[in-house]
Amino acid sequence: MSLRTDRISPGLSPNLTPLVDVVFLLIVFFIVVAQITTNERLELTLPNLVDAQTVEPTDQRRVIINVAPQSEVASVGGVYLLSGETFPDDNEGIAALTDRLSVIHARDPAIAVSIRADRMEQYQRVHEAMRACAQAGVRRVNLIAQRDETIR
Amino acid sequence: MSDPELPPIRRRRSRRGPAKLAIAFTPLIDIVFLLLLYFMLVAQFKTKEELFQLDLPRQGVSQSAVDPFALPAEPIRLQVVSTGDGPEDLSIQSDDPIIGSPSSIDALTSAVAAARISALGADQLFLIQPRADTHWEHALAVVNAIKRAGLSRVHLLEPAI
Repeated sequence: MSLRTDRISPGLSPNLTPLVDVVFLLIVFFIVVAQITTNERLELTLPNLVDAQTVEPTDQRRVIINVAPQSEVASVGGVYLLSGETFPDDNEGIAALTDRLSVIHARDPAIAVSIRADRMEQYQRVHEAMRACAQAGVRRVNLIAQRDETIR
Repeated sequence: MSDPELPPIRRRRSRRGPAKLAIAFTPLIDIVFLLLLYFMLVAQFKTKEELFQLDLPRQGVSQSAVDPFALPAEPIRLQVVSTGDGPEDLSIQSDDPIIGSPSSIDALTSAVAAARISALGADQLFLIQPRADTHWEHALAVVNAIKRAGLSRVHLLEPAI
């Protein structure tokens, strides 16, 4: 009797503890990552260019302005998404976006502003974001495109 | 003294020792492999996003006054109109007689590259003026075409109506 219980118990108890530990860690990790990614990047089809003369992103601190496609404005809550905040594309919204960018730029003048927009996005709406950057005192923006070596 | 105590010690070692070693590692390795796979995939996705660095024209200052060291060369204006949804469905018009109105992005690149050898300075300024409804990809494709031709001073202007 005592031999049988000895054989069963080591198979059960040490097996679960590290597994549960790691699963909990994974859950926390995915929750955190999901929050960061939804705050920073919208899911977009980025412009895909032939022989793109793009440069790789550097380690410079940066903020991203996402331009939400028309079909996703309702679910995002605004047209421009900047570090978790959304702004509509009317005059008030763009003024608020400019103010927000001014604050960010004043706090850290070396910060880089990146603009992510869908490949089918109307130029007008992307340009509003660039104009807001210029009015906030940002001198240089990063325009994000997709690099695809398969085209050429 | 030692003879009667030896058998229980051997039993304990043989029962607990191998069980602790063999079982704790298998799920750990499974998950480490999963994590490795996940990070490899994520890393690939991230490097796909790259960027164009573009200087913004200063607000309230006319284009010619942006750079006090610019040559008196006139900036070349390029108008971009989307004619469809595909990457090549666009029409380009320039006010420069050498570049003219190229029929495609590749034609624009070769026209600018040819003009660069004969007529344009290395700091030739290009003003790109897409329409309000021009697709973003097409506007960026023109920026890219000029950079491919070896020139880098490009400004994106207010949309034309």
